[in-house]
Amino acid sequence: MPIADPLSPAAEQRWRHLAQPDEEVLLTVASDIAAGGHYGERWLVITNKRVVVLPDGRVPSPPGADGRRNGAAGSTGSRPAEGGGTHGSPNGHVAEAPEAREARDAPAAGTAEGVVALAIEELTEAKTEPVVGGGRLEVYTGNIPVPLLEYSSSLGPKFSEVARGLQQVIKGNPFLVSDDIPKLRCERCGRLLPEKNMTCSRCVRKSAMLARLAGYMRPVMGLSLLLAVATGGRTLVQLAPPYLQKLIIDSVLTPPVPGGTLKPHYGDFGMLALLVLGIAAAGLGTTLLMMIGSWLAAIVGTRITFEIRGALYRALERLPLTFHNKREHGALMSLVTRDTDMLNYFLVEGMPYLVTNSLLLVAILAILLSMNWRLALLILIPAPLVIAGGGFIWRRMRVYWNRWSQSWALFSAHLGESLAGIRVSKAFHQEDAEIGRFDRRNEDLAQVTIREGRFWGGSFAVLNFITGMGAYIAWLAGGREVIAGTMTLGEIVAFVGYLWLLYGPLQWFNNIYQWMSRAFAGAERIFEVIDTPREAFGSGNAAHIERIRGEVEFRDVTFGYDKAKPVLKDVSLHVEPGEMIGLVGKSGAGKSTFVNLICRFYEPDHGEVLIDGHNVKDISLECLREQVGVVLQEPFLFNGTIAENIRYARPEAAEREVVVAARAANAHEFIVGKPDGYDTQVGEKGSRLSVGEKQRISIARAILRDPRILILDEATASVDTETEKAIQEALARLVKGRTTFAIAHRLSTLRNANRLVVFDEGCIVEVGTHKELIERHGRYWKLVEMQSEVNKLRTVDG
Amino acid sequence: MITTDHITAAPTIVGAANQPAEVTASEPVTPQDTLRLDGSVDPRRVRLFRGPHGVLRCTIDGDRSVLRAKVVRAFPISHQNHWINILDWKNKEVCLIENPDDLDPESRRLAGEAIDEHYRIATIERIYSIENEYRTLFCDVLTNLGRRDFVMKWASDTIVWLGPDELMLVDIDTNRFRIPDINRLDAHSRKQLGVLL
Ligand SMILES: Nc1ncnc2c1ncn2[C@@H]1O[C@H](COP(=O)(O)OP(=O)(O)OP(=O)(O)O)[C@@H](O)[C@H]1O
Ligand SMILES: [Mg+2]
Repeated sequence: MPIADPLSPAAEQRWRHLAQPDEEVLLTVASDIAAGGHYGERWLVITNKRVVVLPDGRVPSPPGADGRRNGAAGSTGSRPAEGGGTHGSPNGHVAEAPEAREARDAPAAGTAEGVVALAIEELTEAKTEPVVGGGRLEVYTGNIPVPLLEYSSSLGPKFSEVARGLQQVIKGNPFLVSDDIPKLRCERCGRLLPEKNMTCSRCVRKSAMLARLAGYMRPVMGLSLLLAVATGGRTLVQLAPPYLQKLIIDSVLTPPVPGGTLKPHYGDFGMLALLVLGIAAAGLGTTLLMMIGSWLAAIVGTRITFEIRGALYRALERLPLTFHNKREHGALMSLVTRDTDMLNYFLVEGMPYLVTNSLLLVAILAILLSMNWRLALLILIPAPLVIAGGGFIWRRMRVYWNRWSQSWALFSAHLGESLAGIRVSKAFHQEDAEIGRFDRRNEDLAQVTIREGRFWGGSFAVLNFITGMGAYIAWLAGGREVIAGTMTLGEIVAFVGYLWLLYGPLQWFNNIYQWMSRAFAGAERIFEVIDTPREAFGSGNAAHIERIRGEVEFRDVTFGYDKAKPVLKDVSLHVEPGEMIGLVGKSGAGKSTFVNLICRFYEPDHGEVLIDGHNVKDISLECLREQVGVVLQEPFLFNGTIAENIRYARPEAAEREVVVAARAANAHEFIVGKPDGYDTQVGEKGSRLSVGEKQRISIARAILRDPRILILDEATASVDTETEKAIQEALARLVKGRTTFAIAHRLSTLRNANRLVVFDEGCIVEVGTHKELIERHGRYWKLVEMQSEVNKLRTVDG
Repeated sequence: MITTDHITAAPTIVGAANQPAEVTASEPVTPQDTLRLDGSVDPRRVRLFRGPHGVLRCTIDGDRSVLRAKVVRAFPISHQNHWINILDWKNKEVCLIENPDDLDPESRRLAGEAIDEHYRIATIERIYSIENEYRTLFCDVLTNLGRRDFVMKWASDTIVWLGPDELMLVDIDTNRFRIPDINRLDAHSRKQLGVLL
């Protein structure tokens, strides 16, 4: 999405008055906040000489007009939707009201009003100042900040880029801004996009949920067909009994009327027995087909959920960390376990009912109409009510189920978290508080269930009564016809029999609504995750580097977990293959973030990270993560044995290799000291080991991978100095020939580093050897001074 | 590459008077210290005013002066009108004020303005529509700042209760919208709101 927004006619007009003859316009962009803080537009024009802010239309503008004007801006098509289009009319594509157009096109009184113009040569810096829910673009003249304009959070990424571009102009560098600005709206229909750059769900012809679920049916196609046959057969068989009852009453039990039709079977017991046998056979057939049906449905439904659960888990594993950052694990777990269960339950139980009963409905309607269409139409009078009622219930139930799932997710998230954090709760004697929190969640869950049940029960009872009205009508109107002799007794009995079969499904439908809405609400959440774009894993034309040399380069990298608030700012660093780099700086300075970018856990907002001269984006993730070994700041072990955890890096590694890696991490001794040695179970998340032990196992795990680039994020922070020294010596041998990044607060950890890189507030402030940096008397020197180990280090360095 | 030179070239906004603060932090707290451990300071000694280009400045009488201040809430959700924090340009704390009403009227007014500048939170006056699709909510509302449509995810941290009837919505771009009292909305708006409550 291009960053530039063409000027609106009003702004264009203003600019024509203001433009100086030899001025070259470099960029024009729109913000979405007008001068008075209202939603509206303001324009920023960056030229080679000046930076100018132009108001748009009337200043200040009343809220109503804002909305209309901006809605229209998104629809003109000539202007990128995000310009004025982040807000506005209902769908962002309503025709512009005439008066709004006039207001915009009319020359504003006093062109200078609201215009800010500053000469580039007076400026010293341009930056963005984030605020809660938005940001401000500011320039500095000398030491004095001048606020230029405000924007909402939606335009945060765009204006960070604008600030960067402006900074280039101020510094006299070539003006280069990225056009890779996230797209906020669908280019076709103007609708806001829930995920940046995603395809619009409304514009992609959204196939119904059922069709999508059917897609997962492919592996069990044959069984599904069988299931359909069994279901259809059962429907047919179910239709027989009322008809047989009619025959019994009319042909066998009712005496012939003198002068009426001949009744050859009247009083024929043999015939009666045969017909009753027929009813029994139909009953048996229904039972058999039902058994076969449920058996098949169980297989088909379970298979489908198996597929979906698999797809969901694959999606979860492959989704970028940015996704996992935003989600609670408990909620995701309930998605994989409970929501897929719900779906299974529906597919196995609900779906067959739905299909059989839909078929029954059609068949019975046909029979009733052919038997006596006037009566059939009469008894159908309550049907619209039943259907409308069902529809109402269906919509309400969806809301209830969503709410229920939400409560469930919160409930299980809290459960998981509180159990994981039980040590902390006990340490702070907060068991009662935790129990209280649990009770509240439990109560919430109960409340939602009760409310849902109450609504369900109440509405169902009313619906039941309405349904019964069909039968009253049948007896009343049908009975009159029997009295009048236009209808037989058998016919009315069959009629009422079919009627119950007809309204039965209608009631069942309501029952199924309950399941279906519950299952579909879950399916919606599941598909939401499956549809989220995943990490591009070794896809496309990604380069495969057999053996990474280990040259790492950061070029003007800016990155923020929230794009508007960069954590790393214009960071550049070139690291030769085989170098050991020590990263130091205050907590929160961005060290871990820096190494995260090497692993491509996140991607820079702009700038590039290069490995061996290739942009990491172009290296296949597979080969990147294979050759980059990381020891994360928080050691994480999986439940299993120590050996399994070390082998996590390379499952096929031989015992000897595992031992070598453990030795290098100085873990071997403590491991064999345990009764079960390498087969010791570490417990969930490694909880049975000390933190230092866990750290050493994670180091061993990274070493076993034999990575070309090794990243140690506070890898030895919880290990005593002596052990650390031993680890370092072992590492020093191993590290030879591979690029290493080590982060440490304890500066002595970095004594082997070739160069030290000092971070401060997201910037690299110093780079050099320990000696150079000490001589420079800068930040690093200050850090060293502050640490008590300073003397020791000096003696080490001579 | 960014070097130290760049850093020193950057405008130093915080007055030199601010420097001792860092040092005093590690020294024993003496009774004369203006900045008590809880960061609070006698509000009568704090004065806020505007410098060139409307830049907010702050002085603590007899102690120091900050050439560029900003004002944030320490508890933006639980205490909207108390516990305001004056920060300098680098987010270093200048002082914490429990009750802004204790400031002199002019400073009080400026503090309010600065807070409004820092929290771009629109107040929803009317809800035209809220559509729920795959647990993504498409909202179209009229706010005190004008009409706006936004998308939000249905989650516990995007629909935040600030009080029994007060609600805050956070959209996917972290824009914030406040409904001061859901009962005061018109019937149509309340009905739309029902979609997400
Ligand atoms: N997943 C995340 N989501 C949002 N913000 C984050 C995330 N991880 C880190 N941050 C923020 O980014 C900034 C830099 O964090 P980072 O972890 O890189 O610091 P660090 O230098 O490694 O600190 P430390 O020495 O304490 O480990 C911090 O302000 C932190 O709050
Ligand atoms: Mg860190």
